[in-house]
Amino acid sequence: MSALTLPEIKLELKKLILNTLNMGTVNPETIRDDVPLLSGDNAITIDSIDVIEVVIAIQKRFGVRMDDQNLARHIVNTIDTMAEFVYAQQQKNGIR
Amino acid sequence: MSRIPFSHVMSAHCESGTLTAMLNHHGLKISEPLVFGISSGIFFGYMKTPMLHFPSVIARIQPGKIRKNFAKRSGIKFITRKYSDPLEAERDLDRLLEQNQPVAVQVDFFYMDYFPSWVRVHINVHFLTVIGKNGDHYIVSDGYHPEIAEISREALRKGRFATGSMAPKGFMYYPVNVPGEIDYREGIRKGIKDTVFYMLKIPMPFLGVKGIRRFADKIVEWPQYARDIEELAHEIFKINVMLEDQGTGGGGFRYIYASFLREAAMLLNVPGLQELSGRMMDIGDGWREISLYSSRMAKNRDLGTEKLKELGNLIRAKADLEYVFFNDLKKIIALL
Repeated sequence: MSALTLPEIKLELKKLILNTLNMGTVNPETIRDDVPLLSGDNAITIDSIDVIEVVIAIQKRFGVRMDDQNLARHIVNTIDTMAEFVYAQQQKNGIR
Repeated sequence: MSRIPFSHVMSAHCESGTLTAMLNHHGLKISEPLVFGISSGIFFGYMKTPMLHFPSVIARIQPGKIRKNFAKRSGIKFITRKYSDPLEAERDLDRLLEQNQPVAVQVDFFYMDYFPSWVRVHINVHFLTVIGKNGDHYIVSDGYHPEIAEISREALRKGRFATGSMAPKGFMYYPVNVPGEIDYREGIRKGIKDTVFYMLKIPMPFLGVKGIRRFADKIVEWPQYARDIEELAHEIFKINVMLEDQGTGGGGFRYIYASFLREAAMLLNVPGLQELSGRMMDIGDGWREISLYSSRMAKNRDLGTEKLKELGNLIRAKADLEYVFFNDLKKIIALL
């Protein structure tokens, strides 16, 4: 698998979240990167039940694990925090 | 403003994270998983007593034990105190801060208003470190928060003197005479030995691996405790909260224990512990799948008997895995 750039990861994440949470009618481009998804201030709002869905979907899609070192709850905050995590894991795993 | 220089790091679990940051501050280099493992933090319990309206599930030892067990196994002494008078508690806190002593305090998480409102819930056993003052605000290092934060005197007081089960009563602690280095090997052995006892041998049918089995068997009975489907959904969702949300580091504390075993393997030079670390990571993944399953059940209000049975089967499979796992861990530790 070749490495994705940060913008590509962000777009993938938005599509993945929309698909996982059955929000397919939302345009991914309307989701802001820096606004928490749980806050109610973004184009979509996820709840704490959705968080675990998103965690597992990201793990499966990108082959990463959000364990005690990575603190899943902090990562599943904004598109930015999720993308930075995936990008860092790609680098760590030597995917270029 | 007076702020004690303090290295702020995010942590998997508030109690072990607060203790780790405090020890690091006093010059002892130790990781959070090592603190968690030495203090035998991992556990399982399924509680149902006449006092409890609904069964309660835990995946870690009781609050306060992490510090107590670590103190016992490291030889480090801690000054601890509870209060009935909030003003006296504040005076002591202010005095210690003036002496450049960071102070760990127990609070109700709900009043920690530097977190956004949508994540704050009443949990009476949250821990953080107070590291300074800025006018009428305290400066705190909270392992669940990405950076150092400020909280008003009034909010911290509310948190420290919240009422209810496991009320903090102003509890605070700080260590004294922390050595620069400790030989952790005996602490690791003792920590693992006690964990094996808690998980396999503790003579109560609702604790350890037996507790996981009881959880698996009894989950089908949960509808009889619920007033309606909304309450049942709420309680089923709390399985996810217990496994993933309450500062567990994910997978019901299994990931942090896996990290501990990885570190223990290096410190004791026992490759078998490294292999068990990988297996414990996989077990954590399995608990995370249970989180997902229960979350979906709750969200879809899909709470029929067959679904509950299936959830029970998933939980029982974890009991089987953990039974084999802790027996293997017991064999390794017996040789050390």
